Amino acid sequence: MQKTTRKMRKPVPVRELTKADIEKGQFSGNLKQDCDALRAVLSASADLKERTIKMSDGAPCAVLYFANLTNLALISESIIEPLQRHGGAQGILHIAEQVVHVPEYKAEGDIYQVACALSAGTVAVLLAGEAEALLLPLLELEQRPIERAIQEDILIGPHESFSESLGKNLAILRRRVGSPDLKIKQLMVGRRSRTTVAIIYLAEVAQPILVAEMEKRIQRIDIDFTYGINYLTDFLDDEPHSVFPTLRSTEIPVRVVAALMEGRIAVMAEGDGSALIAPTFAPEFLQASEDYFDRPLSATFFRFIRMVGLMISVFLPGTWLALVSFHHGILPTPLFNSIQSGREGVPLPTVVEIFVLILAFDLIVEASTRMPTRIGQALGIVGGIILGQAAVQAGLVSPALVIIAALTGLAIFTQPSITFISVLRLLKYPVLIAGSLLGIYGVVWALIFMLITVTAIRSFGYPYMFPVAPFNLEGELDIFIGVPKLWHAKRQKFLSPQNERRLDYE
Amino acid sequence: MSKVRVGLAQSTLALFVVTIGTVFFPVAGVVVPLAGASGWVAVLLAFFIALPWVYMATYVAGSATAPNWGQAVKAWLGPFVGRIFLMYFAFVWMWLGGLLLGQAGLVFHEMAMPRTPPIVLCFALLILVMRVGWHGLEVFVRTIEALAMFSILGLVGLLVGMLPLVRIDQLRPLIDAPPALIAHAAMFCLPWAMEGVLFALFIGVYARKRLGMGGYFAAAVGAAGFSLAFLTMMTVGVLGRGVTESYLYPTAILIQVALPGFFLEGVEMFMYPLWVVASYFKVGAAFIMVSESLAGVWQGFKQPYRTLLLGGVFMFIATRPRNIFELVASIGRVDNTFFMSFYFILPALALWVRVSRREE
Repeated sequence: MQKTTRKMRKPVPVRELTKADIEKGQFSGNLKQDCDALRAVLSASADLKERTIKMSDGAPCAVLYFANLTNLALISESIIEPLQRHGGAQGILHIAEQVVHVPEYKAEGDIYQVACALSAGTVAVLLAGEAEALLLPLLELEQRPIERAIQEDILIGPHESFSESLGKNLAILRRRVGSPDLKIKQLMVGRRSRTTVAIIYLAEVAQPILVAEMEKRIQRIDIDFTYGINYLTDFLDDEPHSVFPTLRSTEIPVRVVAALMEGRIAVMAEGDGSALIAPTFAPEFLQASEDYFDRPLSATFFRFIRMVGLMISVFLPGTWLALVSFHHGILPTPLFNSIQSGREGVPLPTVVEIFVLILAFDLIVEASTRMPTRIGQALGIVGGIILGQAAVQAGLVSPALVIIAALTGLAIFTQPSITFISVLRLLKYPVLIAGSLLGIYGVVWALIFMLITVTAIRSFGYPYMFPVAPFNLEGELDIFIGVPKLWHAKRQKFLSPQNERRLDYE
Repeated sequence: MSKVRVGLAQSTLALFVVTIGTVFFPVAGVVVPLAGASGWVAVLLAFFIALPWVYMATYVAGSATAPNWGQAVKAWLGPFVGRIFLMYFAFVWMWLGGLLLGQAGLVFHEMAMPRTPPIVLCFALLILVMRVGWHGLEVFVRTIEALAMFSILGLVGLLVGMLPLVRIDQLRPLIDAPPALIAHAAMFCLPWAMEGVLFALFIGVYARKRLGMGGYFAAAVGAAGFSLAFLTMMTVGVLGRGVTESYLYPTAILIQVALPGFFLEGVEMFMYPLWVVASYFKVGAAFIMVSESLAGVWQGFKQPYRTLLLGGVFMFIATRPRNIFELVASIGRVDNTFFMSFYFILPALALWVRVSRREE
């Protein structure tokens, strides 16, 4: 892997959240004082429950938990009842190992750490005379079940998507990758949210330096709160100011698994139903996961359609404007006459006309995205057909331009990645401006400008335009042509996987 | 300091497209008036003559151990002579690059955008060139790779599309000019080949693998010569000698006469992008070579001042010629005076490097 050019950020000192003396404090062994200290750290939250129990030998102990985060039945069955039946003379570790029926436990003497664990759905047991609390994780939340992907619809192949539970998502990945090579590193992000972030990779395939780099970037994040993994892209990206995404966001487990198998790594966070894949290369945004479940010829055809869609969505309005405004001499006379007759009576210049139409289309798309599904569909139809038709009849725009705007709008949605769709929606405007100023010269200028921008970008140290630039035949075949699986016997060398061979077939 | 390195295949492709550059537009207009229908032989001959110089350039570049061009030249020639060589190299490419920048604007203005001042078009290209100059050779080579897919396809498509229009009688006899005239015409093509040779010398320093570099680079320059010769032949075959002789950029006319079908009456639509892309390749290469040479002369000349100053100089040179005839004459003078001088300088450099290596 080449050295990344990312600069180190200056570490921001962590601001103390509560009274420093309590936060840094240790349990004293005095049950009342320890419970009071914990309540003070947690600011006497209303949903914090405390149950004091007399154990069989009369030793007092306290069970603390957040009522809506934990499984109450399990607390009663597995913790309170056993505690009432046993004595506490043998200490907290004896209770953990012999008394309570909970698979995991941890003894913790730091009050602040115990408070944090309580907030994450752990039950804390405090015993009089013990300077440590017993932490028993019993998190239970109502969570969204595994459903179909919303943003990335799949036609052929597995339809399941990630949910907001990190544990469930990791379980899905583990089920799909049975190998013990699948490694998961967990880190904590967010001073207040304390969100668990997981780095997922195949130990025998991924380059350790890639994992280390991701770990370094995550550890460098010092933020109050994170909404999810996509919120952290600015911190993980090589080029946070660029419009082009250098990490691919996906909500489809099979796509993550495919990336892991190539030697890439994935990052997920608690509370977010998507994963980020690193490194990511721009041409891969043309790939859909069903390409690998389809026949090679069909997959090639659909990739070609997506390629054409990409070109149309970015360059058609600008090129059309350039042709009509600057180079109409090269259009066949009947075609030019037809365009001109359509423009008769249109009060707006072509530049304004096309800008208005394209902008209107984007407005419709944006509005229908925010609407509930059924209303959104209706809005799309009303906006697309009726408004367009009405605008032509009112003489505000020419019919040819309605076709150009509609084709541009449709072509964008041939792309399988929602992130990339946003980029394409944006890119057509600079091309349009360049085309309106300098004709075809401007359109090509914009193309070269974009290419300079994307070829200068790196994703975790790897050139973003791989396998187009630097050229790699094997990679290019995989991007543009749906080659039979048998041809994919080796992983791409470019990522320097530790284990190159992925298929043996006789 | 991070080491900039490019692959051998990448360098070969870059060398091929930079050698062709914008030459494919005027090539027939230069050789056909001198050698008639045999102009293509002159082009082929010139590039064939240049091949030993390609090997010399790769020999010299292959011996470089320094991380960049400036340091490599100083290692070959010593700090004082090295700096003089770098300054001369930068001067020559700066002049040519500036004029080619002017050509990009003037020709496109004449061809397609008569209402847009050429200076606007020059400035637009300059922004691209400065941007890539700021990023450096690695990014420039990657943009070539990405664009070459379209431009080479366009060039091949153009040549194939012309085949049905070729009139064999206009090509007969294929070699009608006396050898002296062909040699005279070849003289005018030699600087174009030398531009390729010098780019080979420059990019060879950055090549990641150097085994077989001479063969690769010779193939690139040879292929460029062959393509230009073929284009010359096609131009004469389609337009005839008379029309070819009367235009400065006969390829533009060649493209305009093509009738591929109803949708577009001519294929200028494809010629325009090809012109912009070719201009970007050539001016971009010149800009980067000048920038790196100046960095070698004075290491304190850092970015972004280097790019900004060079941009100003390129623009100044680009705006000097008042019309296309002055521009063509200026390019001819730079080519025939300064680039031809490298036919003597390069063997001397190769000899010097060889002697120095033996002594070591």
